[in-house]
Amino acid sequence: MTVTLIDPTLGPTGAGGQTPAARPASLDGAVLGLVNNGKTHGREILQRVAENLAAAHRLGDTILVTKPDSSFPADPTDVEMLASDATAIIAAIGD
Amino acid sequence: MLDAVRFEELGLPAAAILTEPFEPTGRVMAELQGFSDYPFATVPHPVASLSDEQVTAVADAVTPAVERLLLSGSAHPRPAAAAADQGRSRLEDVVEALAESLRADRADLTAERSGSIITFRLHIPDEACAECVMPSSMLIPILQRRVDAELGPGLTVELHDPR
Repeated sequence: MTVTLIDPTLGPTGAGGQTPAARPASLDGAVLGLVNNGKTHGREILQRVAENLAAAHRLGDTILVTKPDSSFPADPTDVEMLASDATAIIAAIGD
Repeated sequence: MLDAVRFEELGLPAAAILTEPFEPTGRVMAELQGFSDYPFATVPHPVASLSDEQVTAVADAVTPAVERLLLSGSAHPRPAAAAADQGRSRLEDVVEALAESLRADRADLTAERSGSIITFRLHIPDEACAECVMPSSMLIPILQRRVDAELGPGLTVELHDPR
């Protein structure tokens, strides 16, 4: 019998000193990438927040991706797509 | 949290939404990825058992924080720089920020400085889950990073771990 042990942890990068991305002056025209980790109500919260933001800003679009497993980072294909097509990201829900 | 910081690394402003009990964990996760004091938005726990109306209310309540995170990089309307106004030293601020993440496991942290050496002491009472607290091998780099970032380079961090 084969036993597969899945370790969901990520080790420290060891780099330190990372700085967040530059912030835009406004969300007008922004394409929001919504990263849903699949936990209950995460998608609904993300979509409602996006609707609220769309009511206040002239958003360009929203793109929703759902992770197959909340314990792991987003799928590299989704990350690549969002890095290319989105201009800001909302991730939920750490629970 | 990991996804948010990953997109930050890729140059996209990101906002992570966590439930309140996960605030210490989220802070440490970001720290481990090199992002000290990475801001994020929180919502009350639990979320999974909420009705549709309650979910909508939670989303509406957190929207301003998400908006601020995307536009200014801060979840709060006021810059989080008020600690100095409360008469605490910068070392005390550093200790408090780090201790907060340990208190979820009922541990605590104190520190004292002697010259260029800052000695942290990890306190793990009997009722705490010692195995739940991060090991020294992970804590020391976090402590050193935070000290370097907040107090400047040239300081050496030591950790007394009772385990």
